[in-house]
Amino acid sequence: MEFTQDQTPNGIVIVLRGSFTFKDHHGFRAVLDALTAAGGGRRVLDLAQVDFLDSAALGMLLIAEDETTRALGSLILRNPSGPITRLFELSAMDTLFRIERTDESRAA
Amino acid sequence: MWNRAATRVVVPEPAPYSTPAADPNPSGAAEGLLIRWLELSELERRAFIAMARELTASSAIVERSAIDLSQRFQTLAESAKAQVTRVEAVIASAQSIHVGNEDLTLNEATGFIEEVLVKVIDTVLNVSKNAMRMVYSLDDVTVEVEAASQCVAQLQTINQQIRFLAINTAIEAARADRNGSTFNVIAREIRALAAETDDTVKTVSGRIAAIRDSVSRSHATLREIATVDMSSHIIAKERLDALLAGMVAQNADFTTILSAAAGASADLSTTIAPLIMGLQFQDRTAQLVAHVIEALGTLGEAGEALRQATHDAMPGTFAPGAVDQAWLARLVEKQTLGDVRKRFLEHLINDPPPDEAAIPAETHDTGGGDIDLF
Repeated sequence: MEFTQDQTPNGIVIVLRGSFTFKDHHGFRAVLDALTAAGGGRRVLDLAQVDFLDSAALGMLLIAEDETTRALGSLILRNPSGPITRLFELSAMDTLFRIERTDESRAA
Repeated sequence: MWNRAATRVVVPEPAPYSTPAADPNPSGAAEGLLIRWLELSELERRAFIAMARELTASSAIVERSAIDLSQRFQTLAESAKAQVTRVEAVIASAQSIHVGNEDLTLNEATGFIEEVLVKVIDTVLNVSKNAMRMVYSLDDVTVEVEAASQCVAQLQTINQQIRFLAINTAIEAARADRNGSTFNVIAREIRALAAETDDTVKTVSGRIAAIRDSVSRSHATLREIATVDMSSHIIAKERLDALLAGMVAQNADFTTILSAAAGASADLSTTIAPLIMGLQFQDRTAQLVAHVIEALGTLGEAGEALRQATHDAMPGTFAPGAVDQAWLARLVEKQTLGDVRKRFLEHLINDPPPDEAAIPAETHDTGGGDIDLF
Protein backbone atom coordinates (compact mmCIF):
# COMPACT_ATOMS: atom_id res chain seq x y z
CA MET A 1 0.00 0.00 0.00
CA GLU A 2 1.12 3.53 -0.73
CA PHE A 3 -0.16 6.70 0.79
CA THR A 4 0.20 10.43 0.30
CA GLN A 5 -0.71 13.17 2.72
CA ASP A 6 -2.12 16.58 1.87
CA GLN A 7 -2.97 19.43 4.19
CA THR A 8 -6.07 21.23 2.90
CA PRO A 9 -8.01 24.16 4.37
CA ASN A 10 -10.55 21.61 5.56
CA GLY A 11 -7.98 19.41 7.32
CA ILE A 12 -5.62 16.56 6.56
CA VAL A 13 -6.43 14.29 3.61
CA ILE A 14 -4.49 11.03 3.37
CA VAL A 15 -4.94 9.08 0.16
CA LEU A 16 -4.36 5.32 0.35
CA ARG A 17 -3.67 3.20 -2.75
CA GLY A 18 -3.58 -0.53 -3.51
CA SER A 19 -4.15 -3.45 -1.19
CA PHE A 20 -4.16 -2.68 2.51
CA THR A 21 -3.13 -5.71 4.58
CA PHE A 22 -1.18 -6.75 7.68
CA LYS A 23 2.19 -6.20 6.00
CA ASP A 24 1.36 -2.49 5.70
CA HIS A 25 1.23 -1.99 9.45
CA HIS A 26 4.65 -0.31 9.57
CA GLY A 27 3.63 2.17 6.88
CA PHE A 28 0.25 2.75 8.49
CA ARG A 29 2.00 3.77 11.70
CA ALA A 30 3.10 6.90 9.86
CA VAL A 31 -0.53 7.47 8.91
CA LEU A 32 -1.54 7.08 12.56
CA ASP A 33 1.14 9.57 13.58
CA ALA A 34 -0.12 12.02 10.97
CA LEU A 35 -3.71 11.61 12.14
CA THR A 36 -2.87 12.20 15.80
CA ALA A 37 -0.19 14.87 15.36
CA ALA A 38 -2.56 17.36 13.78
CA GLY A 39 -4.56 17.98 16.96
CA GLY A 40 -8.31 18.42 16.79
CA GLY A 41 -10.18 18.77 13.52
CA ARG A 42 -11.21 16.84 10.50
CA ARG A 43 -9.11 14.01 9.06
CA VAL A 44 -9.96 12.25 5.85
CA LEU A 45 -8.77 8.83 4.70
CA ASP A 46 -9.47 8.64 0.98
CA LEU A 47 -10.11 4.98 0.11
CA ALA A 48 -11.19 5.43 -3.53
CA GLN A 49 -8.04 3.69 -4.79
CA VAL A 50 -7.97 0.90 -2.21
CA ASP A 51 -9.04 -2.36 -3.81
CA PHE A 52 -8.60 -4.84 -0.96
CA LEU A 53 -8.74 -4.86 2.84
CA ASP A 54 -8.13 -7.80 5.13
CA SER A 55 -9.27 -8.01 8.73
CA ALA A 56 -5.91 -6.67 9.99
CA ALA A 57 -6.46 -3.56 7.87
CA LEU A 58 -9.96 -3.21 9.30
CA GLY A 59 -8.40 -3.52 12.77
CA MET A 60 -5.93 -0.76 11.86
CA LEU A 61 -8.77 1.47 10.67
CA LEU A 62 -10.52 0.87 14.00
CA ILE A 63 -7.30 1.86 15.80
CA ALA A 64 -7.13 4.96 13.61
CA GLU A 65 -10.69 5.82 14.65
CA ASP A 66 -9.79 5.33 18.35
CA GLU A 67 -6.58 7.33 18.13
CA THR A 68 -8.19 10.19 16.19
CA THR A 69 -11.03 10.41 18.70
CA ARG A 70 -8.48 10.37 21.53
CA ALA A 71 -6.74 13.29 19.82
CA LEU A 72 -10.12 15.11 19.72
CA GLY A 73 -10.33 14.84 15.96
CA SER A 74 -12.90 13.25 13.67
CA LEU A 75 -12.04 10.59 11.10
CA ILE A 76 -13.87 10.38 7.78
CA LEU A 77 -13.53 7.55 5.27
CA ARG A 78 -14.03 8.92 1.79
CA ASN A 79 -15.29 7.17 -1.36
CA PRO A 80 -14.72 3.50 -0.54
CA SER A 81 -15.09 1.33 -3.65
CA GLY A 82 -17.89 -1.19 -4.13
CA PRO A 83 -16.17 -4.25 -2.58
CA ILE A 84 -14.85 -2.15 0.33
CA THR A 85 -18.33 -0.71 0.89
CA ARG A 86 -19.81 -4.23 1.00
CA LEU A 87 -17.10 -5.21 3.48
CA PHE A 88 -18.04 -2.25 5.67
CA GLU A 89 -21.71 -3.23 5.46
CA LEU A 90 -20.92 -6.87 6.28
CA SER A 91 -18.88 -5.88 9.33
CA ALA A 92 -21.34 -3.13 10.34
CA MET A 93 -18.40 -0.71 10.16
CA ASP A 94 -20.58 1.56 8.09
CA THR A 95 -22.32 2.35 11.37
CA LEU A 96 -19.03 2.99 13.23
CA PHE A 97 -17.34 5.26 10.72
CA ARG A 98 -18.41 8.47 9.09
CA ILE A 99 -18.34 7.55 5.39
CA GLU A 100 -18.34 10.38 2.90
CA ARG A 101 -19.05 10.24 -0.80
CA THR A 102 -18.03 13.10 -3.04
CA ASP A 103 -19.74 14.08 -6.27
CA GLU A 104 -16.92 12.53 -8.34
CA SER A 105 -17.49 9.20 -6.63
CA ARG A 106 -21.24 9.30 -7.25
CA ALA A 107 -20.64 10.17 -10.89
CA ALA A 108 -18.27 7.23 -11.20
CA MET B 1 -91.22 -68.14 -10.49
CA TRP B 2 -91.26 -66.25 -13.75
CA ASN B 3 -88.94 -67.95 -16.20
CA ARG B 4 -90.10 -66.91 -19.58
CA ALA B 5 -87.47 -64.25 -20.25
CA ALA B 6 -86.59 -65.84 -23.57
CA THR B 7 -90.19 -66.13 -24.67
CA ARG B 8 -90.69 -64.30 -27.90
CA VAL B 9 -93.98 -62.49 -27.91
CA VAL B 10 -95.50 -61.81 -31.29
CA VAL B 11 -97.29 -58.51 -31.19
CA PRO B 12 -100.53 -58.64 -33.17
CA GLU B 13 -102.34 -55.56 -34.28
CA PRO B 14 -105.40 -54.88 -32.03
CA ALA B 15 -108.72 -55.44 -33.73
CA PRO B 16 -110.44 -52.25 -34.83
CA TYR B 17 -113.16 -50.96 -32.46
CA SER B 18 -115.39 -49.44 -35.12
CA THR B 19 -118.51 -51.46 -35.75
CA PRO B 20 -120.29 -51.00 -39.03
CA ALA B 21 -123.67 -49.31 -38.61
CA ALA B 22 -125.23 -51.83 -41.04
CA ASP B 23 -124.53 -54.80 -38.76
CA PRO B 24 -127.52 -57.11 -39.10
CA ASN B 25 -127.22 -58.14 -35.48
CA PRO B 26 -126.62 -54.96 -33.36
CA SER B 27 -127.00 -56.70 -29.99
CA GLY B 28 -124.35 -59.26 -31.00
CA ALA B 29 -121.95 -56.50 -31.99
CA ALA B 30 -122.57 -54.64 -28.70
CA GLU B 31 -121.95 -57.82 -26.76
CA GLY B 32 -118.66 -58.32 -28.63
CA LEU B 33 -117.60 -54.74 -27.84
CA LEU B 34 -118.62 -55.18 -24.19
CA ILE B 35 -116.45 -58.30 -23.94
CA ARG B 36 -113.53 -56.39 -25.36
CA TRP B 37 -114.18 -53.50 -22.94
CA LEU B 38 -114.17 -55.95 -20.09
CA GLU B 39 -110.94 -57.57 -21.28
CA LEU B 40 -109.37 -54.12 -21.62
CA SER B 41 -110.61 -53.21 -18.16
CA GLU B 42 -109.01 -56.36 -16.73
CA LEU B 43 -105.79 -55.53 -18.55
CA GLU B 44 -105.90 -51.99 -17.13
CA ARG B 45 -106.54 -53.29 -13.62
CA ARG B 46 -103.55 -55.60 -13.81
CA ALA B 47 -101.47 -52.84 -15.40
CA PHE B 48 -102.45 -50.43 -12.60
CA ILE B 49 -101.27 -52.94 -10.01
CA ALA B 50 -98.04 -53.54 -11.92
CA MET B 51 -97.45 -49.80 -12.33
CA ALA B 52 -98.19 -49.16 -8.64
CA ARG B 53 -95.63 -51.79 -7.67
CA GLU B 54 -93.05 -50.41 -10.09
CA LEU B 55 -93.64 -46.93 -8.72
CA THR B 56 -93.29 -48.22 -5.16
CA ALA B 57 -90.08 -49.97 -6.05
CA SER B 58 -88.79 -46.92 -7.92
CA SER B 59 -89.63 -44.70 -4.99
CA ALA B 60 -87.70 -47.04 -2.70
CA ILE B 61 -84.71 -46.93 -5.08
CA VAL B 62 -84.81 -43.15 -5.15
CA GLU B 63 -85.09 -43.05 -1.36
CA ARG B 64 -82.15 -45.41 -0.87
CA SER B 65 -80.07 -43.51 -3.43
CA ALA B 66 -80.96 -40.18 -1.89
CA ILE B 67 -80.02 -41.38 1.59
CA ASP B 68 -76.80 -42.88 0.28
CA LEU B 69 -75.94 -39.70 -1.63
CA SER B 70 -76.78 -37.59 1.39
CA GLN B 71 -74.50 -39.67 3.59
CA ARG B 72 -71.71 -39.52 1.04
CA PHE B 73 -72.06 -35.77 0.70
CA GLN B 74 -72.10 -35.49 4.47
CA THR B 75 -68.86 -37.47 4.64
CA LEU B 76 -67.41 -35.31 1.87
CA ALA B 77 -68.38 -32.13 3.74
CA GLU B 78 -66.82 -33.41 6.95
CA SER B 79 -63.65 -34.37 5.04
CA ALA B 80 -63.52 -30.89 3.51
CA LYS B 81 -63.86 -29.30 6.95
CA ALA B 82 -61.15 -31.59 8.33
CA GLN B 83 -58.98 -30.67 5.36
CA VAL B 84 -59.46 -26.97 6.14
CA THR B 85 -58.38 -27.61 9.72
CA ARG B 86 -55.33 -29.59 8.62
CA VAL B 87 -54.28 -26.99 6.05
CA GLU B 88 -54.70 -24.21 8.61
CA ALA B 89 -52.50 -26.21 10.98
CA VAL B 90 -49.88 -26.58 8.22
CA ILE B 91 -50.03 -22.83 7.55
CA ALA B 92 -49.57 -22.08 11.25
CA SER B 93 -46.72 -24.59 11.43
CA ALA B 94 -45.02 -23.19 8.32
CA GLN B 95 -45.01 -19.70 9.77
CA SER B 96 -43.05 -20.54 12.91
CA ILE B 97 -40.08 -22.61 14.03
CA HIS B 98 -40.08 -24.26 17.43
CA VAL B 99 -36.77 -23.55 19.17
CA GLY B 100 -36.34 -24.66 22.75
CA ASN B 101 -39.37 -23.39 24.60
CA GLU B 102 -40.38 -20.70 22.17
CA ASP B 103 -41.83 -20.34 18.70
CA LEU B 104 -40.02 -18.03 16.32
CA THR B 105 -41.43 -16.69 13.09
CA LEU B 106 -39.30 -17.28 10.03
CA ASN B 107 -38.48 -13.56 9.94
CA GLU B 108 -37.38 -13.69 13.57
CA ALA B 109 -35.27 -16.78 12.86
CA THR B 110 -33.57 -15.17 9.87
CA GLY B 111 -33.03 -12.00 11.90
CA PHE B 112 -31.45 -14.11 14.64
CA ILE B 113 -29.07 -15.77 12.16
CA GLU B 114 -28.16 -12.36 10.76
CA GLU B 115 -27.53 -11.05 14.26
CA VAL B 116 -25.28 -14.00 15.10
CA LEU B 117 -23.29 -13.51 11.90
CA VAL B 118 -22.80 -9.81 12.61
CA LYS B 119 -21.64 -10.65 16.15
CA VAL B 120 -19.16 -13.20 14.82
CA ILE B 121 -17.75 -10.68 12.38
CA ASP B 122 -17.67 -8.03 15.11
CA THR B 123 -15.68 -10.43 17.26
CA VAL B 124 -13.26 -11.09 14.40
CA LEU B 125 -12.74 -7.36 13.96
CA ASN B 126 -12.23 -6.78 17.68
CA VAL B 127 -9.67 -9.57 17.75
CA SER B 128 -7.95 -8.04 14.74
CA LYS B 129 -7.97 -4.59 16.30
CA ASN B 130 -6.47 -5.80 19.60
CA ALA B 131 -3.99 -8.00 17.78
CA MET B 132 -2.82 -4.99 15.77
CA ARG B 133 -2.49 -2.97 18.96
CA MET B 134 -0.26 -5.74 20.33
CA VAL B 135 1.69 -5.76 17.06
CA TYR B 136 2.35 -2.04 17.47
CA SER B 137 3.34 -2.64 21.11
CA LEU B 138 5.70 -5.40 20.03
CA ASP B 139 7.12 -3.06 17.40
CA ASP B 140 7.85 -0.63 20.26
CA VAL B 141 9.42 -3.46 22.25
CA THR B 142 11.52 -4.35 19.22
CA VAL B 143 12.77 -0.77 19.00
CA GLU B 144 13.70 -0.85 22.70
CA VAL B 145 15.40 -4.22 22.30
CA GLU B 146 17.42 -2.86 19.40
CA ALA B 147 18.41 0.11 21.59
CA ALA B 148 19.46 -2.28 24.36
CA SER B 149 21.42 -4.29 21.81
CA GLN B 150 23.22 -1.09 20.78
CA CYS B 151 24.06 -0.47 24.46
CA VAL B 152 25.50 -3.96 24.77
CA ALA B 153 27.60 -3.34 21.67
CA GLN B 154 28.92 -0.17 23.32
CA LEU B 155 29.69 -2.16 26.47
CA GLN B 156 31.64 -4.65 24.37
CA THR B 157 33.63 -1.76 22.84
CA ILE B 158 34.33 -0.33 26.30
CA ASN B 159 35.33 -3.75 27.58
CA GLN B 160 37.71 -4.13 24.65
CA GLN B 161 39.32 -0.84 25.62
CA ILE B 162 39.58 -2.04 29.23
CA ARG B 163 41.37 -5.15 28.05
CA PHE B 164 43.80 -2.93 26.09
CA LEU B 165 44.25 -0.92 29.28
CA ALA B 166 45.14 -4.12 31.21
CA ILE B 167 47.65 -5.10 28.57
CA ASN B 168 49.26 -1.62 28.63
CA THR B 169 49.40 -1.74 32.42
CA ALA B 170 51.13 -5.12 32.31
CA ILE B 171 53.67 -3.74 29.81
CA GLU B 172 54.36 -0.74 32.04
CA ALA B 173 54.76 -3.10 35.06
CA ALA B 174 57.39 -5.15 33.18
CA ARG B 175 59.20 -2.03 32.15
CA ALA B 176 59.35 -0.79 35.80
CA ASP B 177 60.78 -4.20 36.85
CA ARG B 178 60.73 -4.54 40.68
CA ASN B 179 58.96 -1.26 41.16
CA GLY B 180 56.23 -2.43 38.81
CA SER B 181 54.75 -5.22 40.95
CA THR B 182 51.87 -3.00 42.01
CA PHE B 183 51.02 -2.33 38.34
CA ASN B 184 51.05 -6.07 37.81
CA VAL B 185 48.40 -6.51 40.46
CA ILE B 186 46.31 -3.74 38.91
CA ALA B 187 46.75 -5.26 35.44
CA ARG B 188 45.55 -8.67 36.67
CA GLU B 189 42.56 -7.14 38.40
CA ILE B 190 41.62 -5.13 35.31
CA ARG B 191 41.94 -8.25 33.12
CA ALA B 192 39.75 -10.22 35.53
CA LEU B 193 37.23 -7.38 35.55
CA ALA B 194 37.22 -7.27 31.75
CA ALA B 195 36.69 -11.04 31.58
CA GLU B 196 33.81 -10.82 34.04
CA THR B 197 32.28 -7.91 32.14
CA ASP B 198 32.66 -9.85 28.92
CA ASP B 199 30.78 -12.78 30.41
CA THR B 200 28.02 -10.48 31.58
CA VAL B 201 27.78 -8.78 28.18
CA LYS B 202 27.55 -12.18 26.49
CA THR B 203 24.78 -13.20 28.86
CA VAL B 204 22.89 -9.97 28.23
CA SER B 205 23.39 -10.37 24.47
CA GLY B 206 22.01 -13.90 24.68
CA ARG B 207 18.97 -12.69 26.57
CA ILE B 208 18.38 -9.82 24.17
CA ALA B 209 18.59 -12.30 21.29
CA ALA B 210 16.06 -14.51 23.08
CA ILE B 211 13.74 -11.51 23.55
CA ARG B 212 14.13 -10.55 19.89
CA ASP B 213 13.35 -14.12 18.90
CA SER B 214 10.33 -14.21 21.17
CA VAL B 215 9.05 -10.88 19.88
CA SER B 216 9.48 -12.12 16.33
CA ARG B 217 7.49 -15.28 17.05
CA SER B 218 4.77 -13.28 18.83
CA HIS B 219 4.65 -10.94 15.84
CA ALA B 220 4.12 -13.88 13.50
CA THR B 221 1.43 -15.31 15.77
CA LEU B 222 -0.38 -11.98 15.95
CA ARG B 223 -0.20 -11.71 12.20
CA GLU B 224 -2.04 -15.01 11.93
CA ILE B 225 -4.60 -13.88 14.51
CA ALA B 226 -5.17 -10.47 12.97
CA THR B 227 -5.22 -11.44 9.33
CA VAL B 228 -8.39 -12.92 7.86
CA ASP B 229 -9.35 -12.53 4.26
CA MET B 230 -12.90 -11.24 4.59
CA SER B 231 -13.76 -11.85 0.92
CA SER B 232 -15.09 -15.32 1.69
CA HIS B 233 -17.19 -13.80 4.48
CA ILE B 234 -18.69 -11.31 2.07
CA ILE B 235 -19.59 -14.08 -0.36
CA ALA B 236 -20.94 -16.24 2.47
CA LYS B 237 -22.96 -13.33 3.82
CA GLU B 238 -24.42 -12.54 0.41
CA ARG B 239 -25.33 -16.20 -0.14
CA LEU B 240 -26.83 -16.41 3.32
CA ASP B 241 -28.85 -13.25 2.71
CA ALA B 242 -30.10 -14.69 -0.59
CA LEU B 243 -30.83 -18.04 1.08
CA LEU B 244 -32.80 -16.45 3.91
CA ALA B 245 -34.69 -14.20 1.50
CA GLY B 246 -35.46 -17.27 -0.63
CA MET B 247 -36.71 -19.16 2.43
CA VAL B 248 -38.96 -16.28 3.44
CA ALA B 249 -40.29 -15.93 -0.12
CA GLN B 250 -40.84 -19.67 -0.44
CA ASN B 251 -42.64 -19.71 2.85
CA ALA B 252 -44.86 -16.89 1.65
CA ASP B 253 -45.60 -18.85 -1.53
CA PHE B 254 -46.43 -21.97 0.50
CA THR B 255 -48.71 -19.95 2.73
CA THR B 256 -50.48 -18.46 -0.28
CA ILE B 257 -50.95 -21.86 -1.91
CA LEU B 258 -52.08 -23.49 1.33
CA SER B 259 -54.47 -20.61 1.98
CA ALA B 260 -55.91 -21.15 -1.49
CA ALA B 261 -56.24 -24.89 -0.73
CA ALA B 262 -57.95 -24.12 2.57
CA GLY B 263 -60.27 -21.72 0.75
CA ALA B 264 -61.07 -24.35 -1.88
CA SER B 265 -61.87 -26.90 0.84
CA ALA B 266 -64.05 -24.37 2.62
CA ASP B 267 -65.82 -23.59 -0.66
CA LEU B 268 -66.33 -27.32 -1.21
CA SER B 269 -67.87 -27.66 2.22
CA THR B 270 -70.09 -24.64 1.57
CA THR B 271 -71.17 -26.06 -1.80
CA ILE B 272 -71.98 -29.48 -0.39
CA ALA B 273 -74.31 -28.16 2.33
CA PRO B 274 -77.05 -27.00 -0.09
CA LEU B 275 -76.59 -30.23 -2.06
CA ILE B 276 -77.50 -32.18 1.05
CA MET B 277 -80.46 -29.89 1.57
CA GLY B 278 -81.43 -30.34 -2.07
CA LEU B 279 -81.59 -34.10 -1.64
CA GLN B 280 -84.56 -33.60 0.67
CA PHE B 281 -86.63 -33.39 -2.54
CA GLN B 282 -86.86 -37.16 -2.21
CA ASP B 283 -89.52 -36.80 0.54
CA ARG B 284 -91.67 -34.66 -1.73
CA THR B 285 -91.20 -37.09 -4.62
CA ALA B 286 -92.20 -40.02 -2.42
CA GLN B 287 -95.39 -38.20 -1.44
CA LEU B 288 -96.24 -37.51 -5.10
CA VAL B 289 -95.57 -41.11 -6.06
CA ALA B 290 -97.74 -42.30 -3.16
CA HIS B 291 -100.60 -40.19 -4.49
CA VAL B 292 -100.20 -41.66 -7.95
CA ILE B 293 -100.09 -45.19 -6.50
CA GLU B 294 -103.22 -44.45 -4.51
CA ALA B 295 -105.00 -43.19 -7.65
CA LEU B 296 -103.93 -46.27 -9.63
CA GLY B 297 -105.23 -48.52 -6.85
CA THR B 298 -108.56 -46.72 -6.79
CA LEU B 299 -108.88 -46.99 -10.58
CA GLY B 300 -108.04 -50.71 -10.40
CA GLU B 301 -110.62 -51.28 -7.70
CA ALA B 302 -113.24 -49.36 -9.72
CA GLY B 303 -112.53 -51.41 -12.83
CA GLU B 304 -112.66 -54.67 -10.86
CA ALA B 305 -116.01 -53.66 -9.23
CA LEU B 306 -117.53 -52.72 -12.60
CA ARG B 307 -116.22 -55.93 -14.22
CA GLN B 308 -117.63 -58.02 -11.38
CA ALA B 309 -121.00 -56.22 -11.62
CA THR B 310 -121.12 -56.84 -15.36
CA HIS B 311 -120.28 -60.50 -14.84
CA ASP B 312 -123.05 -60.80 -12.27
CA ALA B 313 -125.54 -59.11 -14.62
CA MET B 314 -124.52 -61.14 -17.64
CA PRO B 315 -123.22 -64.47 -16.33
CA GLY B 316 -121.49 -66.70 -18.90
CA THR B 317 -120.94 -63.87 -21.33
CA PHE B 318 -117.13 -63.73 -20.91
CA ALA B 319 -114.32 -65.55 -19.14
CA PRO B 320 -113.50 -63.80 -15.80
CA GLY B 321 -109.71 -63.66 -16.20
CA ALA B 322 -109.54 -62.96 -19.92
CA VAL B 323 -107.45 -60.01 -21.11
CA ASP B 324 -107.01 -58.49 -24.52
CA GLN B 325 -103.80 -60.22 -25.69
CA ALA B 326 -103.10 -57.74 -28.48
CA TRP B 327 -103.19 -54.73 -26.17
CA LEU B 328 -101.18 -56.71 -23.60
CA ALA B 329 -98.45 -57.25 -26.16
CA ARG B 330 -98.47 -53.60 -27.20
CA LEU B 331 -98.33 -52.55 -23.56
CA VAL B 332 -95.06 -54.37 -22.90
CA GLU B 333 -93.43 -53.92 -26.29
CA LYS B 334 -92.17 -50.39 -25.50
CA GLN B 335 -90.64 -51.44 -22.19
CA THR B 336 -86.95 -51.95 -22.90
CA LEU B 337 -85.79 -52.71 -19.34
CA GLY B 338 -85.76 -56.51 -19.21
CA ASP B 339 -86.59 -56.84 -15.51
CA VAL B 340 -89.46 -54.40 -15.73
CA ARG B 341 -90.84 -56.13 -18.79
CA LYS B 342 -90.66 -59.52 -17.05
CA ARG B 343 -92.55 -58.25 -14.04
CA PHE B 344 -95.15 -56.54 -16.24
CA LEU B 345 -95.73 -59.74 -18.17
CA GLU B 346 -95.97 -61.68 -14.90
CA HIS B 347 -98.62 -59.28 -13.63
CA LEU B 348 -100.55 -58.90 -16.84
CA ILE B 349 -100.67 -62.61 -17.68
CA ASN B 350 -100.72 -64.40 -14.34
CA ASP B 351 -102.21 -61.71 -12.04
CA PRO B 352 -100.26 -63.04 -9.02
CA PRO B 353 -101.30 -62.27 -5.44
CA PRO B 354 -99.45 -59.30 -3.87
CA ASP B 355 -97.03 -61.36 -1.72
CA GLU B 356 -95.84 -63.40 -4.73
CA ALA B 357 -95.36 -60.31 -6.86
CA ALA B 358 -92.96 -58.50 -4.55
CA ILE B 359 -90.06 -56.94 -6.39
CA PRO B 360 -86.70 -58.25 -5.12
CA ALA B 361 -84.58 -55.37 -3.83
CA GLU B 362 -81.47 -56.58 -5.61
CA THR B 363 -83.15 -56.24 -8.99
CA HIS B 364 -83.41 -52.46 -8.56
CA ASP B 365 -79.93 -51.47 -9.45
CA THR B 366 -79.33 -47.89 -10.45
CA GLY B 367 -77.00 -48.70 -13.26
CA GLY B 368 -79.61 -48.29 -15.96
CA GLY B 369 -80.85 -51.90 -15.98
CA ASP B 370 -80.35 -54.50 -18.64
CA ILE B 371 -82.04 -53.43 -21.81
CA ASP B 372 -83.19 -55.91 -24.41
CA LEU B 373 -85.81 -56.02 -27.06
CA PHE B 374 -88.47 -58.48 -28.06
